Order: sequence, then structure tokens, then C-alpha cells
Amino acid sequence: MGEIPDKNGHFGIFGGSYVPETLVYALQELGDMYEKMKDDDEFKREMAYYQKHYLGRPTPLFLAENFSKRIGNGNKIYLKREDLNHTGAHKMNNTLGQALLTKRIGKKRVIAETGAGMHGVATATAAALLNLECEIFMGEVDIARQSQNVSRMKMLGAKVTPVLSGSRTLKDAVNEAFRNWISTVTTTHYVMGTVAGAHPFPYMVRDFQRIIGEETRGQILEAEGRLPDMLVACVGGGSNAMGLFYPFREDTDVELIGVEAGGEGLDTGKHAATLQKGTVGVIHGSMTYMLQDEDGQILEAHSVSAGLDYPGVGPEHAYFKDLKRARYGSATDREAVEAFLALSRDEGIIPALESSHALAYLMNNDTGKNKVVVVNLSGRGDKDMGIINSYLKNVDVTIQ
Amino acid sequence: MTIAEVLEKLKRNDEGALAMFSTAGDPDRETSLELFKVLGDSGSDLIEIGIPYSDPLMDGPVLQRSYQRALNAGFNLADFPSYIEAVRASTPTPLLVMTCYNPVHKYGVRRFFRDISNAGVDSILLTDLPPEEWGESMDLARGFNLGTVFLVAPTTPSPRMEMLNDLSDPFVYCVSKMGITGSGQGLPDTLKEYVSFVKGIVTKPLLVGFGITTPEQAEMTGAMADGVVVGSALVSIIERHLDDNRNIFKFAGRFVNELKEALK
Repeated sequence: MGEIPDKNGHFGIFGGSYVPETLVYALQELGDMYEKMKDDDEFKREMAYYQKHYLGRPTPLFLAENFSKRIGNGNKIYLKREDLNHTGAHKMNNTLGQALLTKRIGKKRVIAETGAGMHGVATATAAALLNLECEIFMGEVDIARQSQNVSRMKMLGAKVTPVLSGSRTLKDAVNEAFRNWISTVTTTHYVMGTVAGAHPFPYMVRDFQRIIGEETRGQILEAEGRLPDMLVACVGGGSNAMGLFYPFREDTDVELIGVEAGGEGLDTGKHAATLQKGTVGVIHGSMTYMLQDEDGQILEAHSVSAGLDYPGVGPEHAYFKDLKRARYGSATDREAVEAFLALSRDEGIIPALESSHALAYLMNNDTGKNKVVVVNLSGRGDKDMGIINSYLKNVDVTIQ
Repeated sequence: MTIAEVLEKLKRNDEGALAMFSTAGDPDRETSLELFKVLGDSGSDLIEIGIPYSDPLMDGPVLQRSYQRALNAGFNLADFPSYIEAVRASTPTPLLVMTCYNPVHKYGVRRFFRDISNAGVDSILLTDLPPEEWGESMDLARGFNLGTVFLVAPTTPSPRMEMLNDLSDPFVYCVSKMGITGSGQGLPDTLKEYVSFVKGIVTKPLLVGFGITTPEQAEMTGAMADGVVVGSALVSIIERHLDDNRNIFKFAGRFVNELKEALK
């Protein structure tokens, strides 16, 4: 597949850097700094140290035997346990890397957007560890549905700024983070939480997350003596999916499946299935698939899960889709809630609502027989108790 | 007259140029059309027309609300060329269109440039399209005889500023400070040093914008450069008088008059 992205951050026609002039220099500086650091032995040592002793990596690859029986047909479902990462999601892989980079650049303050709050918590955690000032932008709607994470961020010493513009969710939190960054870029680093945004974010965040796929590769070879048939991960912006997929991109026998939030259904207009229902445009500094109207105005996404409630997607996923290297499906709100309950009962693991979409895909689609499947369990579901309880009050969901 | 001709004439007269920004369709189509006529009649040397956008990265709350009002009032891009024709018919003041890139991309870059050029637009400023992403669009713009205005910012290093100066036509737009539009914190103390640094590199006419809200600031800034751009302060007038259009025209006209006098 060659060197992707090119030096200006293009994945084919996707990616790039569509930002106001004020940010151009900071992004170039960040790209240069990252290029230098990624091969720097001291930086690599530092990353490896914190990954092992602070995050608790490597995370296990667990054969979910009971859940496998639920899926049936002799399929073996392995879970990559990113929920066991410190702070309870894969997000910390990236925030640790970017916070260490911030120290190297010499900036003292970090900002970040957050949807479900996991990236906000992970950024606040890395900031506390490395003694950086931290401000998190979070949509007012998300603050209401993820209040526990708001408390966590504050406990960690971060300032949480409510975002009142637009749909008051993740998209608007990204807007506000960018706007704040335009005013503060000389002293502040923007810790983008996913493989979206302007160059170098999509490939830098991918690189910090690819440890998921690299570990999985070794673990599945040890467990099965071969590569898996299929990798499944949820896709909002797409960082946990790209982290898992990327190290397998040349292994064309390994099927890559990204699962988007189908919300109330792909035909209802209330979903976040950007890759399946979107069109090509520029969102948050990057050319990619996005939900937009015929005038290029960005549309609101919808998902029961705040972390997937985003009308854009990382440009490398757009590239994988067009190349047909990965396939993208979806799971509805209801299917995700069913999967949430199923995994909790089957395995004693409460999954994040986001990750539940990946599990739901397996429960609702024919995956063939005797397949070895790895699902990225990108986060744990403690944060979702309130949403699940109120969903179950209104909708009758029963699990066999 | 073209923007280039206007700027040249003003320079000969030792007069600062005034560029007034407002949003197409804010608060509604008819009122905004009348407002653009008022801006021209009151002394704006060029008019900057903003295309409403749902998610502008470089704009503060004042312009975000302005875009939202226009969208709520039914602004749509298909109507934009005829909208421009209507502005063109009401004032001879040359027109610059300022927009985020996505609506242009969705409309089709070639078609957009052709349609607005035919409708009478002089130049365009795509706020989130740096030269690195223009590609063949630059030739398209030239082919349709559209000027391409670029921003320089306090973070722009000098070699890059030279490149932006080369590509920018008929003027360079100098962002006065680190920040978004309408952030209302006035102008930085270091503005004079910064602008004279930029003037040392930029050879095209230089207009300074962001944070200019009063005739005094316009006078001071105008003395450093070839002119000023005023946007959010005007849009705030619209916002204050949504209950009575006549007051929008009255206060906007007075404001433009005062700004222009300060630049003479």
C-alpha cells in the first residue's frame, strides 16, 4: 500500500490540512517534531516505560467462550481488552504519546475535545501525570449524558468547558477546541482524540494506537498459530479501529470490519454512519466522508453512544473504504444495547456502548463458520450505566 | 472598478481602504441585500460577502450566530449567484467573497468560480484552504479572472509569508492577532511591530482585520497598512436591531461613515 500518508498528509484524495493560516505553522511544527520523535530512542523508551508501568500494557487477548457460543457456527470470538488500559479505554495510548510530545515541544498547556468523556479523562490523566495545564471542551448534551466522566476530569485537575454551539455534542466540541487553539497555539498543544482532523493528527494518532494491532498479532499467533480471519471494531472518528487494523493492512486474508453507529436506523436520518451514508467533503481540517446537506452544511449525527456521535470520520478509513481494504457496517442503538447486556451476562465484562456496536455486528450478521475473530473491546461500560438504565426504561430489551 | 484599481486610487490619494464584511442572507435575503447597498453607499471601498456555514473554525460567536440566522432564513448556495447579481445591481463597489471551503467543494469548485465570476465577484478568500491544498483550483480561479486573497497571521514564518504574498491577489489580508473573529479583546499592543514586520515582506497592498471595532482603531491601523477589514462589529449592529430593519441600515450607515472618515 506504499507510504501513506504523503508528506502533506494525503491518503489518496483524503486527509490533508484544511485549516486557517493561523494554525498552519503549528501543525507543520507538530508534524516535524513528531517525525523526529517517533524514531528517537529516548522518546521510544519513555513511551514503552509508561505503556508498561502506567497503562498496564500489553492488554490481554481473551477468548470469550460464552459469547462465542452465542454467535455460534464454531466461530471463536477473541476480545482485545483495551477496556483494561488505565482509565478504561484505548484513548490513553494516544494521550500519553501526545502529552509526552507536548513536553518535548516545550508547551505547558493541553486542550482536547471529548464526546463520551473518555478522551477527556485520558487527556486529563496524562496532563496530571506530566504536569500540564489542561482544558477539556465538551458539548452540553454530552456533559448531561456522561456526568461521571465530567467529575473524573475535574478530579484530575482539568477545567471542563461546556460547549453551547451547534448540536452541543462532539462535533461542536472539536470546533471549540480548534477555535481555542487558534488563540493559544504558541503555548498550547491540541490533543486530538481520534484519527481525524488536519495532518499530522490522523497518522500520528494512528501510530500511537497501532500498538493495539501489534500486540493482537503476537497474541493471536500464540493462541491460534495463525492470523485471524476477521477484525471487528467500532468506528466514530475511528482511532480504536485504525489502531487494530493498521498492522494487518498488508495481510489481505484478514478481513477488516468497521462498525458505525446506525442510531435509529440508516434510513431514518438519525445515525452516525458517515462512511455508509456520507459524502466527500472537508470537516475539521480533513477531506473525508461526512454527513452534510446539498449545500455542504454539516448535519448532526445521532447515536445512543456519545463517543460515536460524530458526522465525520478519519481520512484513512475513507481511504480504506474506497480501496475496499476494509468494509463498514453498522449497528443500531437497540442492537448495541442488546450486545451491551449480552456481553455483561455472558462474560462478566461490561463493555462501553461504543464497543458494543462491534459486538452487535457479530450478533446480527452472518460471519460464516469456524472463523477466528478479534473484536476490539475499546472501552469499559461503567460510564454508560445511566444511559443504559434510561434506555431500558423506555425500550423493552430482553436478552436470551 | 476592480479591487486592484480601487486600492491603487486610494493609495494615490493617501487614503486608507475600508472593507466591510457581512453575511449573505443575514438576517434575511432582502434585508441583507439592502444592507450591502448601504455599505457601498456609506463609503465602504470594497465589500466582503460571507457565505453562511454551519461549522466555521475561524469565527467567533457573533459570526456563528450570523451564519445561523442566514441559514434559518433559508439561505442556499444554489441561489448565491443570483444573490450576487442583485448586490452587483445595487452598488458598484467591488466584491470579495469569503467562505469556508466545504460549501465550495460541495457546489463544485469549477462551477462555483464560474458562477460567482459571471455574477460579478472580483476576488475570493477561502479561509481554511491554505495554498498547499489549492492544487489546480488556483488555475481555475485565474481562468475565471478571480483574485485569490490569502491570509497572513502572526504565526506565519517569513519564507511562507513571501509565498503567500506571491499567490495573493489583489491584496494580502493580515490577521491582526492570534484568535478568531469577533473575540472582542481589542488589538494587541504589539500590532505596530507586527504589521511593520509584515510590510517588510509583503509587496501587495495590505489590509488588516480581526479586532477592529471603532473608528479610532481603524485610524490607527489604517496608518500602518493600506486599509482595514471590519466584520463582527457590523454584524453586531444587525444583531442589536433585529426588531427593526430601518435601524440596521441607519446605524450601519453611520458606522461605515465614521470608519471611512477615520481612514481619510
